[in-house]
Amino acid sequence: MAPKAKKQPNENLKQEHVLQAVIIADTFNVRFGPVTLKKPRALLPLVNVPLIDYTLEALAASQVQEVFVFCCHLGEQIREHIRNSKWQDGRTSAMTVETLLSDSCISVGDALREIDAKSLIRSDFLLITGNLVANVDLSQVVEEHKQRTQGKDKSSVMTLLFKTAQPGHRARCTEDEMFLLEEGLSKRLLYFQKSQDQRKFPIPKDILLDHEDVIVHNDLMDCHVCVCSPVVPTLFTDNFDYQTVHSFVKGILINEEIMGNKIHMSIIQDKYAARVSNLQTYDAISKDVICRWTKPLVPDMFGSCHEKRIKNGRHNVYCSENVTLLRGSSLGKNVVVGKGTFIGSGTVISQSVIGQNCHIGENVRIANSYLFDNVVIESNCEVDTSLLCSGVHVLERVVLGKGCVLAWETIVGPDVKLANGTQLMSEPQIDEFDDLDMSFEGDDKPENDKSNNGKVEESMDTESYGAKCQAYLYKPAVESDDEEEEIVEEESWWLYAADLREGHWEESEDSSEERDDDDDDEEEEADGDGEFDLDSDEDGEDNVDSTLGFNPKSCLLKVDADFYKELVATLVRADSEKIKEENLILEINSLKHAFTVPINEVIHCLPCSFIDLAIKQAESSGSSLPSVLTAFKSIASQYSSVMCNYMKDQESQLTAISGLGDFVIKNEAYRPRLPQLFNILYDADILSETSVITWYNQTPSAASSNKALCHTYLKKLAEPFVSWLQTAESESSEEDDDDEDGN
Amino acid sequence: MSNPGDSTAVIMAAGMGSRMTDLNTECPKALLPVGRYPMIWYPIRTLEKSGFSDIIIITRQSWKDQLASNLTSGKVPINAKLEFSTIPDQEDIGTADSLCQIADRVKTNVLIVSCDLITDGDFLDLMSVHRKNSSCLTVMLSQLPNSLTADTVVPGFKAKQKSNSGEKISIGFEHNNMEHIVYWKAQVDMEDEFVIFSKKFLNRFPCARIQSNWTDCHVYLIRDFVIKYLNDKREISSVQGELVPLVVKKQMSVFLPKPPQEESSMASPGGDLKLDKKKDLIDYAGETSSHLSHIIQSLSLTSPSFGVNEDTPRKNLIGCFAYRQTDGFCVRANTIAAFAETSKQMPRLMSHFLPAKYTAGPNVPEGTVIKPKSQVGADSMLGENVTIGEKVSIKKSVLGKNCTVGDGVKITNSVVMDGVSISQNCTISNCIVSQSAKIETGCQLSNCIIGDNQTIATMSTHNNDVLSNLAHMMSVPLE
Repeated sequence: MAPKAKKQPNENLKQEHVLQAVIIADTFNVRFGPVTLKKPRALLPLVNVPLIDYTLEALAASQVQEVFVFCCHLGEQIREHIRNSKWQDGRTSAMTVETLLSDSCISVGDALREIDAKSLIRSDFLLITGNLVANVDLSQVVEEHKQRTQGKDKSSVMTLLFKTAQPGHRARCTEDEMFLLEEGLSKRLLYFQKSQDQRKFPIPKDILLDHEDVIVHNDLMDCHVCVCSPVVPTLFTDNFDYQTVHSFVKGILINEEIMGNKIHMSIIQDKYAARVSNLQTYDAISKDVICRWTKPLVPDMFGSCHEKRIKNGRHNVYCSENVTLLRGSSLGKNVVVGKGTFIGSGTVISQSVIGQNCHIGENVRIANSYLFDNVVIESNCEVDTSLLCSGVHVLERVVLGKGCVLAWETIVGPDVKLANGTQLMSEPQIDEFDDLDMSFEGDDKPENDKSNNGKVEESMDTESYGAKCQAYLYKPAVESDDEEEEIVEEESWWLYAADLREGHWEESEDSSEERDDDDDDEEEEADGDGEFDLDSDEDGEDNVDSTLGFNPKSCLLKVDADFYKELVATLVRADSEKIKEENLILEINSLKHAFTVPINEVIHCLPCSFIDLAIKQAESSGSSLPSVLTAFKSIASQYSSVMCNYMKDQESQLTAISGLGDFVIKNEAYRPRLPQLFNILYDADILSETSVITWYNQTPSAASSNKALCHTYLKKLAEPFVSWLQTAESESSEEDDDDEDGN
Repeated sequence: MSNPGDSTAVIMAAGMGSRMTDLNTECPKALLPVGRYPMIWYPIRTLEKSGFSDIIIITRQSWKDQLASNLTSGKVPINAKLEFSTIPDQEDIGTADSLCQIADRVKTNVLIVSCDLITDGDFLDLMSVHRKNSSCLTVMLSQLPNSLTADTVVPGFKAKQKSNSGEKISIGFEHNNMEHIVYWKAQVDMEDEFVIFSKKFLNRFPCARIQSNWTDCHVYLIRDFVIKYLNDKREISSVQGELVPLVVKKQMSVFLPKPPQEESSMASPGGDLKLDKKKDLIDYAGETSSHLSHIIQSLSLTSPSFGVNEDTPRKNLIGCFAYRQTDGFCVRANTIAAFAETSKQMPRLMSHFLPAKYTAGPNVPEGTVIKPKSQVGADSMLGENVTIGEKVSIKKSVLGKNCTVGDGVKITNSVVMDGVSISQNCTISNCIVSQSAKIETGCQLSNCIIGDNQTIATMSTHNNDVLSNLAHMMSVPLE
């Protein structure tokens, strides 16, 4: 089969007509934080039904006959689940489901390459993720694709499915925001760009010149459903750069003229299709299911095989069998209660999903929350906008703030109040977790892991989480192995709802970039540079700077001093020799490799090194502060393309801001000038507004740590600028008009 | 006597016809004959058909008398009251500048028509689009007829036959209301490799359809406050190049009503001046929508601004819309290709402009002398007092008044203006022959432009030539 498929991709086994689908049950990211440590995302219950069942139902309703479920992280659980489901015996449905396990895959690309190797695909097939909730008939999209490939557009290799969702729609995943161009009549995809956190979207003008009818879409969300021609897995095999479907789409679009392959799109207007891609969309889609937008995939009608009868009352209150509601308890609007759950008197529940066999005590308030199975909440608790996984035990009089996530079998309380956005898990965090979740092969250096385990291992914080707690703080995956290196973003999913667009479940794609510097070496090298007054303090380690109120040394990122020196020297030389920007970028990149510093350190150093350049430039005019600032301003605008090259996304901008903060702490004279520095970088379009605000709203994990103090101190310094930013938006349209003039 | 919707109708007839200099050396572009009538008669007629009875014609000082005598002498059938407004000859004055001339005449809307527009469309359709969307500026767009976009050979030098692709405009329409223009950019203005859209724009208009197959017919219906803005600002000179993009862009702006106290504190004369200078189009728009209408808006359940406070920022005060003509004929005769094409289309199109009694019967009017064995095709049109000799064949061509055609002449696919004399056995194909030209015996002309009063010597053969005084002076061997 395999050679056949490769040689004649368009060969159609017409007599068979078997519609195939490939479900990628792993998303290769850690957006769900601690929740997916023990259970794969595909098995998380969405309104008490595992996510993958929604996907399988949707496929079955679309007359798909053969499904391959591709699982990586905790794949055994998925296989087990499918083995026990109605799909396996083949009598209740015409659809056969086969699970494929692979531990070595770290991306969708790998999965497709493996599928190609096994040559499972015979004709056009559906490629979807295991977290799709949809009531749309996918076979129609397949049919559309078939007609296109058999008709005039033989070169179409893929049809992507999108759902209309206006900007700000709650089911739009803020991390997957995108912007695309469609050719009017042919529905061809012309351009595709992830649009997260950008103020301006450049599109190549040739697209507008070459095509008479172009539709600019910012009103779509990607359902991650693609109809692929059988040639697609082969294309993935041919090009190992294709990691995700997005990179594949981009590659096809760029190489269109060479390869002649095209991508088309299909838009769903009236049916439902959405993807649970982070906690925010989990929340939004749960509510959509409860409000019956996804009919027939609603709790009371879902899969008859689930043997549980669910009663649908008024205001979308769904009660399963054997639910005990004591007198005085009340269920508000949009509530789902699972089988065998006990709810004590005086308890009020609204806008929430309660799993099976939960026990909820008296006078408990639950709002906007999701409780998986077997959760126990004792009396007089308050739970607001939180996610509680199976087996969580909340002891008496605990108040969970907004955005709390309690992972499997965590115990908290009694008598504590958890701050907003706390994420807890029942076991101490092992640093391997992200490897597990991303299904790495585990090829990390063992000594690294050991040292990390030693560091992370901390005693339970009984003060914060209650005397009887069994809880450890979950720290989101940051790519560094040094605990103090990165500012930990602590925003949470409820903030999305509050229209704060940024979050911390960043795809840690580049987490493979490890720091291979030895810590000890660094510390030695960090001394000696005249510009770091504070660093040169021999015993600065334990000093608490009286003017700052915290120990500056411990919260600064340790920077390779040689690298920094060389970087500044390069900039000075580039400035004097008028080296072109793109060449400067090359030089900086080669420096990075020469000193083997990770990219985030380069970004961290960049703003400071440019300020140093400004200082050097201003030396001639007496290097007074104002002259340095004006010099920096002109430098910023001159080299904005260089800096932008490194600070494209929010993550890198945050790194740059932290670098700026470190600089200010080191150089006392510049402390009051932090707002100006921000402003210069903002004006030069290097820092985006959202990054600054995100940085400002961050709260470092441990409230009393040096880092937190440092951050609060910097916040105070930057306050004028941030408040200006926040008001400037609403003030007048004048500025924005000017903005547009530039377009 | 009044115009529909109390609008003011203006015909712009001050253009020099810079893209067809070979033709109009002597008479203003507006008076070039198209079919039997001068070019400007067609927009006047279209306006009349839509019910306009007062029309202002903006022209150059020196052309005024010539235009007036041609249009009001009764030689051409015009019922509307024409009024002339003049701009100085020497200065290069843009369309928007000349609008300022009549700014105080505008009561509600002003309808601006270019003198070279030849269309069978109805301006009332445009006006209903304008009113339906409470638009500030409504543009008429059309798709060029295939006969013009196809590769037809244009008379004149080959080198001059540039395609008009450079004039293409990328126009963005809102997907839900394709009449709504949200983006406007001439493709020649796209200098950088990238065209940039702002996030604000994409959030406001999440689905915009950008098309470049529309031509701007240079028919604009503009609200009074925009004209007032033009008149106060005096920075904008061209309607198509500057005003339309400006209005399209200003749709994004939000009107912030000023609190009344602030206004009184700004009473000092200096402050007022400053305020005036900073006044933006949106402020004009905001002030126009009166207090009362705003109250109505905020009280009306069906209005989008229901329940809105008086001092909340208001959106959607400025709107730019388009009437998209999809069928019918709409061409600006501003290039030689378009001029030739429209002239040749005239036999077919005449019935749109005149009632049946004028156009009924053959395209050969009285006073024509045609000797036997000659053929005048039904796709051709002759002017008055044309004399045609024996064995003449005229196909797909238009002849002006007082022409003389000798024996055995063949004219195909050509435009021949008034008072031309063509001697025996000439063959003329795909040519434009201007007024009073003389073509002597046995000439073979194809793809040529013959200037006024030219005499073409006997037995000469010309291909792709421009034969006029002007052209001779500047003629450069191109190959």
